Amino acid sequence: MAGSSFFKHEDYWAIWLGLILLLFGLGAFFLNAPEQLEERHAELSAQLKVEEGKAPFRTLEWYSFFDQQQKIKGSSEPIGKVLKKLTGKPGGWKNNPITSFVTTHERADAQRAAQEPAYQKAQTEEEAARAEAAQAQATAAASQFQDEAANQAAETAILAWRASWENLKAKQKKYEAKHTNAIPWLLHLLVLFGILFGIASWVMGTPFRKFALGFVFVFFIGVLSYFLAGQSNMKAIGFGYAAWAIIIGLLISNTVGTPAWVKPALSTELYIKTGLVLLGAEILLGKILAIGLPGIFVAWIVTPIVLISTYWFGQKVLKISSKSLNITISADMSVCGVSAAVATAAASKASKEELTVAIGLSMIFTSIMMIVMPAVINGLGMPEVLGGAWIGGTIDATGAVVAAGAFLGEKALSVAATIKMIQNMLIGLIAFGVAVYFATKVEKTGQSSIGWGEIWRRFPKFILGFVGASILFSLIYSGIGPDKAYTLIDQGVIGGFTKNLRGWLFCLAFVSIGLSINFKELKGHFTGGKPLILYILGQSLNLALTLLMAYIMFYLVFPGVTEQI
Amino acid sequence: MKAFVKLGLGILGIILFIWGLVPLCLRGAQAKQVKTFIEERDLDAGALFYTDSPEAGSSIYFIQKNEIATYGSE
Repeated sequence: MAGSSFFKHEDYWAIWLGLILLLFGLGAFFLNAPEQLEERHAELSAQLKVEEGKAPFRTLEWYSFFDQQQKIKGSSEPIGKVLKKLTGKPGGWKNNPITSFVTTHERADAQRAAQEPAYQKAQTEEEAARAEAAQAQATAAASQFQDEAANQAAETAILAWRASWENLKAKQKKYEAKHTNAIPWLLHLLVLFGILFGIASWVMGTPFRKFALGFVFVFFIGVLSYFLAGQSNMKAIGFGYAAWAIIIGLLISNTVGTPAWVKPALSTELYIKTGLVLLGAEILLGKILAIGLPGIFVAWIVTPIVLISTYWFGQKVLKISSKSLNITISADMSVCGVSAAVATAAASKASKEELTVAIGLSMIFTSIMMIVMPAVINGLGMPEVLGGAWIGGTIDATGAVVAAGAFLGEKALSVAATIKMIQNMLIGLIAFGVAVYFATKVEKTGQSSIGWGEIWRRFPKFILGFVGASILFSLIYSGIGPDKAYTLIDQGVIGGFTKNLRGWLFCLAFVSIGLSINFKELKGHFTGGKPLILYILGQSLNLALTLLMAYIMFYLVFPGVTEQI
Repeated sequence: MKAFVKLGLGILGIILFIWGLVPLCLRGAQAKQVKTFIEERDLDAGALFYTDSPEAGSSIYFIQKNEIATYGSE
């Protein structure tokens, strides 16, 4: 009995499939590491240390060594390039949709010609800024870096050069257009996913042929979702693939209806849970400790307070009948948007409609906050670090946090991205806590006490894969050290392989959700506007508490950290 | 037939949303600035997790290399 459920439940399949993909990724990147990896990192790290000791600010040479170190990536090795292409998504586009999939030689040449003036201008500006920075640095060096005013001038000039260097990099990316064709790679990915999930579905009782046929349709809608999310207007407002996958699915299922032959491939739970196991590998516990004391306080004190108070408010004041909807919206709003909503919904066994409501709210408010918050911060004359911390702790999705933070400046971007990452890490703990709470308290249905066996039966087992992946990758990360881990994990297994697969799996899950829900049922969840009220009030509390905590941490408790950023 | 008309209207709605409503909403000075900024730097504002954003990854590595948040000023 136990053996049969072991192969008949998508929770176990999610763990196995996730584990296979993670181990494959580890093997591919660790066995094909860049040559002399340790020596190159050691040498560059030593040179960075020397530069750090030379001046009270980051010198031009420091940035040069830092950039060299950043370029050592597992994903730049031959195997990494193949895996990156295999798991890649359709590219960005503005007016010509074909360019999302194919860039011909002629089009690449035309793009290079069109971008050349802007690229050359950026090159000239960068050279001028670099010369100015070198001059200022030389002046500061002449006084053995003892002249405070000269040091300040040098630092300002170097930061100005860095901004123009960032601009040059962006222009270079557009200028270096190459011939590409994503279609063969997408077909390979379709076959890979079709085989993996087809086998899992076959063991769980769905004939392979039926699954495969429906999966082609689901995958096609997934590609369409990525394609629409890549349109420049959509990229600018952060309206990503998750929203498009649900919208297109809903449009089909509520107009012409989801074809019967597609239904065997609507394995929402399997896609979502496998994606979550892969996401677990991205939660690297050691990384939090290495980077952010004030950030930990901002993200890890405010987030649980907002999560619990919003849940309490939803239950006691708004009296939201569905506890799973309440917790999914609360987590989505207080932690990190869609990814937190997916993890909490799976942990609390929320319905597809409930997850859709939470994602919809998050997407709309993320787009608004991404544009409004930088304006408010600039309008109030708030310092960059405080503004970055406020953005990082409150805007749901990472992409929007980065865009809003970068808009304020490099310092704000660093702080915002760091706080968001620390908040991202919380979702493992929260998903685990929610799963335990729902298995032991919410699903009690009148029983005064329940045994461990019953708790285990109710517990969503995929969480173990999620937490296990996090522990495994955190141990590897700590074991090999931050530089090697940057190359082989951040820019290797995760950056070049599993995060792309995870994105695809979430996308396929959202397509399946859209294709299997009824618009009328969805509308029912908005009756009385309770989810909207919950989101707005919870987010208001989040905004106030995050700002207060960010001020206390960055300006009262750790002012030294703020000075150094 | 009615279902296909609804589907067609839905597709039209999507087209109007992308090339009509969103550009209209992005006409304000602040929104325009943010949009231009995102386009120039080719940022993906739709990235879900920190690992999905190369810019976030780079910033975090920068903080890590500087050991800023761990030790603070001496």
